[in-house]
Amino acid sequence: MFAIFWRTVRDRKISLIIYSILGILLLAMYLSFFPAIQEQAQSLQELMKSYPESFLKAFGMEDMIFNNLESYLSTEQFSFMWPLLMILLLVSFSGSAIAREIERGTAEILLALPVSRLKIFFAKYFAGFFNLIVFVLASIPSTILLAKLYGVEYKSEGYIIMSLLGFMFALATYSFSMLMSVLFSEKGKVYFASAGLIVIMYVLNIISSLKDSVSDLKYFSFFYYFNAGDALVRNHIDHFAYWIFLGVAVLSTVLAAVWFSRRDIAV
Amino acid sequence: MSVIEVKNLKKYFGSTKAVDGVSFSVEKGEIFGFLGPNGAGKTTAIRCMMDFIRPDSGRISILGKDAQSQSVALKAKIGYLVSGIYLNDYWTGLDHIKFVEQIRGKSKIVRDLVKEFSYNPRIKVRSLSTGNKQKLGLILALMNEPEILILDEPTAGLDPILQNSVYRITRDFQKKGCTVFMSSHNLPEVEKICDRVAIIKDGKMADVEKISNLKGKKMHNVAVYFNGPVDADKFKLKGVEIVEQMPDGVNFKVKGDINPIFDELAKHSVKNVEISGATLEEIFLEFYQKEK
Repeated sequence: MFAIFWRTVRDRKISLIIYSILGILLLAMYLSFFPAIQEQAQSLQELMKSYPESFLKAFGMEDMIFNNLESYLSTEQFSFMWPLLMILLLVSFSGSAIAREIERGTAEILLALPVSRLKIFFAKYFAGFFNLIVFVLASIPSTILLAKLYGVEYKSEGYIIMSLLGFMFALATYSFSMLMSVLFSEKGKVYFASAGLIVIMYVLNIISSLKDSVSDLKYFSFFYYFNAGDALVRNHIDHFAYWIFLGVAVLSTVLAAVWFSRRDIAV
Repeated sequence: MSVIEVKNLKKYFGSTKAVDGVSFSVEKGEIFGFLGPNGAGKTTAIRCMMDFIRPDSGRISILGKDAQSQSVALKAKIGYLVSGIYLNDYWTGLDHIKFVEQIRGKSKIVRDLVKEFSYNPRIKVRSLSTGNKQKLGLILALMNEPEILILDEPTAGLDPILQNSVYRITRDFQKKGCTVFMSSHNLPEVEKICDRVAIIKDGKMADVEKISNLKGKKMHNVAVYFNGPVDADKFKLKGVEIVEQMPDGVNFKVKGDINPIFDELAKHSVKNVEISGATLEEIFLEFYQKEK
């Protein structure tokens, strides 16, 4: 099992390194802008007042305080760019972990070995989990080091809470995407199904903020539970978010493992 | 003693009956051929044997173990050559070999096999020719000296010299007690190395024969040139088929005993006769025509 895990990690190391570096570079970019933003904080705050409240809420900007690093990063980095990088990394990993192996026939090499399908699945799953951990650690707690480097004031507790929330969001996204990878035999379909669902959830979250009549739709969106402002600024994660993210992760993983053990695997 | 037993194997994909009630058994130490045209169900049957896909009904037993419920234990004893060589493009041959060794254990013969096949394991798979990919696939299947070899089209893409190497290595494995199950389109190859052959058509077994019996189903192509006009209908004998009528002769296909046609020819003035024994391929095709 370890051989399959390690081989999968090695095969995907380049994309992991690239995405992790991108996450750090984006942070560095936002941090380099921050002193200038701080100087303009008052006028920017005035500008924000002119936006409709529902608009600010839809894009997670309702608590935006421009002279607070955590508030600034929760909006600029962690509400959109970070989820985008995370989703691209993990959906592409899961698409290639199972579906691509089936699509290209390389799954036969694994299946011909004296290793159970469950072990194959979990070796692949944990390789992705390793990617997830590395990316989360590289792209969230690293803010503390970068903030020190740029001489910006920060509150370290928020980044620990944010890492936990980011980890759970990433785990749910990854596990669901692995389920798609097991269900489909083509990576294109995995990308389409996973990314499609995530886009739908993103749109649902925005729509629910814009119209009161459909506000309950937010409960069907990961983005509602992934409240970066709450985690970074108030150091708080809604209990419901734990249940939703962990529930989706566990259910998707169990279904994926069972289905992979039972399904026909042929090109 | 049977080491592979397939009983009434059925595998349907929707309304397509890929394998429809196939049964055969393979004895220990024999080289068993599995013949059939494209789409006959050979690869589907092999994938069921390897537990890549699950049969709708029927039973597959290998070395006395159920091929589905005990597949992990069985795969430790099976060397499998994938059809079309589905290898990882970005790995080198050495990466593949090391990966298999990490799971199956250190190979004692991999160096010999690499040398035997004149294969360079340091090149990435994406840069290899089809023949070299096939070599790597064979090395991976053979390197852990399995008790059973399941080879799907083992000589596809190999030149005649390497084909002969594969035949020799396969026979060497047989001598060591290995049982070989191989699918093939190449009938002369089956004729060369197999002890018995199963013929599959449209998912159903056409026959299981010893190679010698298959050859015993004699068939001849006879071209006769006459000195004058002849009524071809006089040659409508049992087992004789008129393939082509020429201005001065007739081409016949003769199944079974060739003497009746000579008895009839003796009544005519014959200018020339050309007789050729049918190849195994023609015999094989005849099976299908017979079934149609």
